[in-house]
Amino acid sequence: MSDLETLEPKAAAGLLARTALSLFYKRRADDEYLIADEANIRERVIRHAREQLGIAEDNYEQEALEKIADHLDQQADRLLSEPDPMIALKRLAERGDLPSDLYEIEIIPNVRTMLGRRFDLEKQLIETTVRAPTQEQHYGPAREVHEPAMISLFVRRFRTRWPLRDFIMLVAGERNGFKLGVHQAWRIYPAIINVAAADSPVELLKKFADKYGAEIELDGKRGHFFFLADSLPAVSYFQIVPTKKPQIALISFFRQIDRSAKVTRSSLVVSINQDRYLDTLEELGVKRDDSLDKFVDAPRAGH
Amino acid sequence: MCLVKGGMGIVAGPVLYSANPWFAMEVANKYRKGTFFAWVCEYFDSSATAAVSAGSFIAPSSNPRKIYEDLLYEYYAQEEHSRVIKAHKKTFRRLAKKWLADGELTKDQHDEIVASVGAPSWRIWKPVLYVIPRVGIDPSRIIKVPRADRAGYGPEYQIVDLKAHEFDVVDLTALVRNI
Repeated sequence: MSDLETLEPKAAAGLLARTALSLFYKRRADDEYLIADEANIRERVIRHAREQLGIAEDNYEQEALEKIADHLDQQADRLLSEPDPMIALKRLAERGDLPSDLYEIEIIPNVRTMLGRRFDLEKQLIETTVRAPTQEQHYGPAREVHEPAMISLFVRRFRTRWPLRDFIMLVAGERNGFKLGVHQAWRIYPAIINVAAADSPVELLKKFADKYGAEIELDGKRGHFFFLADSLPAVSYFQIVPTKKPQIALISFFRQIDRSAKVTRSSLVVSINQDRYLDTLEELGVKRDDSLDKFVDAPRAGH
Repeated sequence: MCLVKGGMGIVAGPVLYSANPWFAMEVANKYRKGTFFAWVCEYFDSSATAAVSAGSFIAPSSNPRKIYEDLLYEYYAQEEHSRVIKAHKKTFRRLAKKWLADGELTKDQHDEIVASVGAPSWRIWKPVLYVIPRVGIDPSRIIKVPRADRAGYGPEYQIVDLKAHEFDVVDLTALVRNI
């Protein structure tokens, strides 16, 4: 139609979009006329659409308005270059902005080994936490000297029949395209760890490590939590001595390859007394049926 | 303050409520420099207000609690034919074009919004409730919705430039009924 032909495609698409939005309101407070004589142009655009669709001038039923709006959408879509959704979603994934239920979740073998028979339930908890977190934190991709890269942390509280057994699930994973490689998954029980001052997932991880930590030395410093380290832990497991009974410590971390400096660093390194943690799971764990929260399945495609 | 006009008790509520999909918040935070649009109501649950209250004249389709519950139900059920979610998708696509045309978005950002609503994510449709204390918001920013755009006589408002620090976001998943 001639009103649109005088406008550049982006402006015409914008006008069509504003017109489609305006069909459902007399006046939305954020609606603006951005081009000269826009109110009259919108009226002509709508009249033209009604003619093309065979919808009477006085038909303001919802279904009719939706048909007109859809028709305007199609016109607007033809004016703009078609977006490539995969490229756009890849950008979101790279930044950590992808809706988290779209990640393909892969749990590394170390987590499965540590959890043993508990793995099936923990896997569902991990997936639910990633797909429907209550808090999340993302690092990368811009590699800052003082920050990890491409790492995402997700947190979700799970309720049980017994409030003292409620826990917070903390999941940390590495983003790689649409994949999220889960390296760490810990239950944090507020009944035994004071989480009041932890205002981010990384703070929670630190609190967790404070409770279950097994001392290691990294970069010449002793500790059980290292946000970033210039070197990699030498081992993944070690036996804690002296203890009354042998206890195993698990060192979990993310490998950070700095290609420009040609060095490999580590981040979010935690050294955890695995036996003490598993004892807590044994003591406070509940059966699936005693959990009050629904687990979240992977979204079905095509809605 | 309590005024009585035309037989309807009108109390300026100290708090405003607005139910929205999580994605609306995401878009405002990531693409609109933290500027939120909110269609607000002085009553969280207008169906539970007294018969003489202005809230009782708010249509169910504008009741924040009902909007929240309906969206939560469809989010949980992963209702693929959800009219509400389909309508939200169309609205976000139109808004993306509008913002692209007025220079608020780049083409890449436009494409990201369009790709997000087109992807099979359910998470983005989970409802959140904005709880907005009236104190600190200039009354001129709280725009009364014209009668023609309200489904009932009860008062509804719009705020087009709400900032993140002006409200709290509440997840009522654990509290709402019948889900």
